[in-house]
Amino acid sequence: MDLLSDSALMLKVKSGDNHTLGLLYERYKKRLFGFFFQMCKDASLCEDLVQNVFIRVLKYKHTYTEESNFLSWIFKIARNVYYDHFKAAAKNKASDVDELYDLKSSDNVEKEMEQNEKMMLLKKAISKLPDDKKEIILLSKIKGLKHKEIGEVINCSEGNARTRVHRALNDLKDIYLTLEKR
Amino acid sequence: MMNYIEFKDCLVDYVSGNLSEEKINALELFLKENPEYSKEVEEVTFFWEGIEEEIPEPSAAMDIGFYTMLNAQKEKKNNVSIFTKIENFLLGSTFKRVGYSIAILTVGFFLGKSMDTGTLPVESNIEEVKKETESVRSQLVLTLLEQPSANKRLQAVNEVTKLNKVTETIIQALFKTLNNDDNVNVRLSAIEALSNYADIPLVREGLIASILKQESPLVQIALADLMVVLQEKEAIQSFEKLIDEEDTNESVKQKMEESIERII
Repeated sequence: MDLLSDSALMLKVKSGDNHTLGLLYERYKKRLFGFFFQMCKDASLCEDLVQNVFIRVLKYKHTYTEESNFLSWIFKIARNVYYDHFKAAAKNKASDVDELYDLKSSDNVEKEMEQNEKMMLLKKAISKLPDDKKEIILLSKIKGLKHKEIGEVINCSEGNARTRVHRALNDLKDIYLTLEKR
Repeated sequence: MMNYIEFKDCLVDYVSGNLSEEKINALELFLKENPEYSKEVEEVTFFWEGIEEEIPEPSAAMDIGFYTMLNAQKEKKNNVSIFTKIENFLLGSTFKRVGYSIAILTVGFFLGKSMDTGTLPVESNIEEVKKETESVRSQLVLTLLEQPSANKRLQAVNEVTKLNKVTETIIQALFKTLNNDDNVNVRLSAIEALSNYADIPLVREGLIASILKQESPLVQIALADLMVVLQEKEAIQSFEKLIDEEDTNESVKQKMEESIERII
C-alpha cells in the first residue's frame, strides 16, 4: 500500500475521493481517541467524538489547502468538537479520581508506597487543573505538535503557545504542592 | 555557555522535545557541570510524564461506526446529486421546464404503454450506489488487512464475504494473508473466504501452492479438507510431499493420506 502523506490523502478526500478518509482514520483514530480520553475519561463518548471529528473533516474539507498542516488542522477540529460537545452539556462532570486511578496493592515496599502516593497526588492535581491548561499540555505531548503547530491549533503565536505550556505545567506543580501540604 | 536562568527557562522545552539540538547540548553540558540541578529536570519530567495515563483501546464499534458513516456519506452524495438535478430542473428556465415536461410526459406515455421493458433511472442510480459501497468495502478490507491487530485482520477477511465481486487486488491480499499472517485464525478465515472463489483457476492454483507454505497443522488440515470438497487432483502431489517430510505432524500425515484416498 502506498504510503502517501497525510496531506496528500486529505487533498484526495477534498477532491471527492471520500473513501481515502478511511486511511486517515486508521492513522489518526488512536491519537484522537487518546487525546479525548485524557480530557474526559469516558471511552464511549470519546469514540463518538472521534467519529464527529471525521464527520467534520468531510464537512469542512473545502477549507483544507496544500499549505495546511494536517496534524494541526485535524486537532483544531478535534478541539472544536470537544468544546462544542461540552458546551451543550451544562457542566463537565467531575470524575472521581480515586476510583479512576485505583492503584494496585503495593508489596509493602516503602518506596513503592511513596511513589504511589505521589502519583495519586499528581492525578488529583491533574483533575484540578483547568481544562484549557490540561488541554495545552496534552496537545504538546502529541508527537509532531511543536509550539508552532500548537499555536495553529489554538489560534495563537508560537511564543504564546510556549508560554501557555510553561504556565500550565507550573500551575500543575503549584496545585500539586498545595495538595501535598494538606 | 548556559547559565542557571537560561537552564530554568528552557527546562520545559527540553522535557517536551521543543529544544534545538544545539540547546540540548548546552543544557546537557550545564547539567554535567552542575549535577545538583538534575533534580529539577526530574521534577519537571515527573509532572510532564504524570499527565499521560493508560489509555484503553477504542472498541471495534468505533471502526464500524466510522465506516458506516463513510458509506452513508457516499450514498448521501449520490442522493444529493439527484436532488440537485431536480432542483436544477425546478429552477431552470421556463423554456427548459416546458421542454422537460414534454419529455417527461412523452416518456411517461411510453412507459405506461410498455411497463415490462426498460430500466428506470432510479434503478441505475441504485446500481451506482451499490458500486460505490462495494468500492468502499473493498478499501475497508485492504485497510484492515494491514492492521497490526489480529481482530482487525479477521474483520477484514469477514468483510470479503460481504462483497459481491472480488477484485484481483483483494484476492492477492487474501493470499498474502493466507501465506504470511502470523495468526492461525486469520489464516483459517482467509481459506474460508478464498474457498468462495475456488471456481477462479488462479484461486485454485494459489490454494494448492499454499499447502506447502503452511506450517500450522490446523491450516494444513483446513486446506486438505477444502481440496477434498473441490476434488482437486492437483493437490495430491503436495499432500504426498507433506507426508514425506519428517517435520510434518503425525495427525496431518494421516489426514493427508485420507484426503488422497477421498480425492481419488
